[in-house]
Amino acid sequence: MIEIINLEKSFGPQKVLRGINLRIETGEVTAILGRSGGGKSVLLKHIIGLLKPDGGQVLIDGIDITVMGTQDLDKIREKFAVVFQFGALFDSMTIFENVAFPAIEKKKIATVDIREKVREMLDEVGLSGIEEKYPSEISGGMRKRVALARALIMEPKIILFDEPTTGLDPILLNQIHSYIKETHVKYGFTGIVISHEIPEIFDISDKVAVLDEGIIIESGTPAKILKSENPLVRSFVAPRCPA
Amino acid sequence: MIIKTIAKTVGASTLLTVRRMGQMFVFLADAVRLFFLPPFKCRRFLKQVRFIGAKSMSVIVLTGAFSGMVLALQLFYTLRKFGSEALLGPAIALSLIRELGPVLAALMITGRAGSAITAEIGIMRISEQIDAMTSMALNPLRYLVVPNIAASIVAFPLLAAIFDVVGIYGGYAVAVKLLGMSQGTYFSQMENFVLMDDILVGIYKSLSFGIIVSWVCCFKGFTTEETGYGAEGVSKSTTEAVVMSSVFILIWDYLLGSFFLQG
Repeated sequence: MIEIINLEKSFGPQKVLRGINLRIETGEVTAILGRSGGGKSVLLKHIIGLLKPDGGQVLIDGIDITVMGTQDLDKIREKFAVVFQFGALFDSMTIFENVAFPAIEKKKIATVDIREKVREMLDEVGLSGIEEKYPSEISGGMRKRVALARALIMEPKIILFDEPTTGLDPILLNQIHSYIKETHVKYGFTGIVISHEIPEIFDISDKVAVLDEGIIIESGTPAKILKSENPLVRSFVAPRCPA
Repeated sequence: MIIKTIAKTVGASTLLTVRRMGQMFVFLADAVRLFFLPPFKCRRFLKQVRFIGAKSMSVIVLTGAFSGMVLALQLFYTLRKFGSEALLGPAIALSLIRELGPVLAALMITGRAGSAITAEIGIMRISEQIDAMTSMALNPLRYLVVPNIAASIVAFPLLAAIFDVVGIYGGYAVAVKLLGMSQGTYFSQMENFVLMDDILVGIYKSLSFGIIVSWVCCFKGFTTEETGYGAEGVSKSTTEAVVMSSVFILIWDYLLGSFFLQG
């Protein structure tokens, strides 16, 4: 379980997170919605310890990671994988090398099995035969799917998705969502998805949290969010989900 | 009121400089620690030796040749005034081996490879590739910094040595073929005057320049986002890396030079 308690973060005079409180249950997919520049990605980076907060706690299975040193943090990060907004694929490596990278470096998969495992992961996200291409040679949508394959190869307990569908057409958007849904069912990971995609995101989420001005203004099941009376939540959800 | 504003500005910029220097030394200390801790990234190291070393050969040969040729012309002109043209060979060799070889080679490598290292790491930073590595519980310093420092330690002295040899032959071409000096005088005097200690000074200098350049260039790439955003940030950090490395090379060269002269 992931628990975020009173998380605060400022960059210079700008307060980005003003006391985030959120509980993410194991095995569930939680979507975090909010306006652009509202601190969603900053929150995500705190969950994996890429940023240190000014105040508050991030508890992963009851352990506060905000006070950890790099070595202890790396042990916690073994549980995680992140699908970054633009994939964050290593551009000097081929697709095969990208997907295989964590497996090769962690040495948790036998070297002889890595090629097969990479192929399996790429098949999982509907990509095969592109192993020898470079990230610059494939489309944005394909890059995001490769990033998902790279995230899945170590079969992590928690996957963070940072706007995995931004900039994609509706067909690709639904495709990515269905890959997230299918792989979640298959691997049973805890998922945190940062998204703007309403109402599509409700289909793959067990829980939704709405972030505004650095605080979580409402959280609950998609049905609860859809029925919310909170004017801020309504202003965010209603235009795209007319009753 | 004005004094208070000036004091505030100076204080703030001093604090920022001290903070950045502290960050730089912590960065170097981390890299040095990882330098001795396995796993070693041998493939990446060899790739960087090729990139920093082998691919800098042409520029080193070209600048080395012309440096030697210019030195021959200038020193011949000066030594002739004292009737000491016979010392042209050792004068060129000592200037190149102790001073110009390591310094000019380091400056050329900074321009060619150092800037590329900063740009590569800077782009990896802004495109979240470094964050991706960190999120996989892999230390990016081990992959991106340590191989560059190790490769620079190997490549800089070798390139400086090539610069020296090519420079000496460039000087030979001008002194013997153009100015009519005897070949025997050029080389025999060199053998008499150039000592092993002179060669060691050159090696020590180029070794330390290798560490300085790879350290500064990697650090600037890693902290690209503190310089600016996006492509502009990468461009600024690359410029800063080259300028800072070059300034550090010249200052460190003077300090080492005076230390070795006293020694």
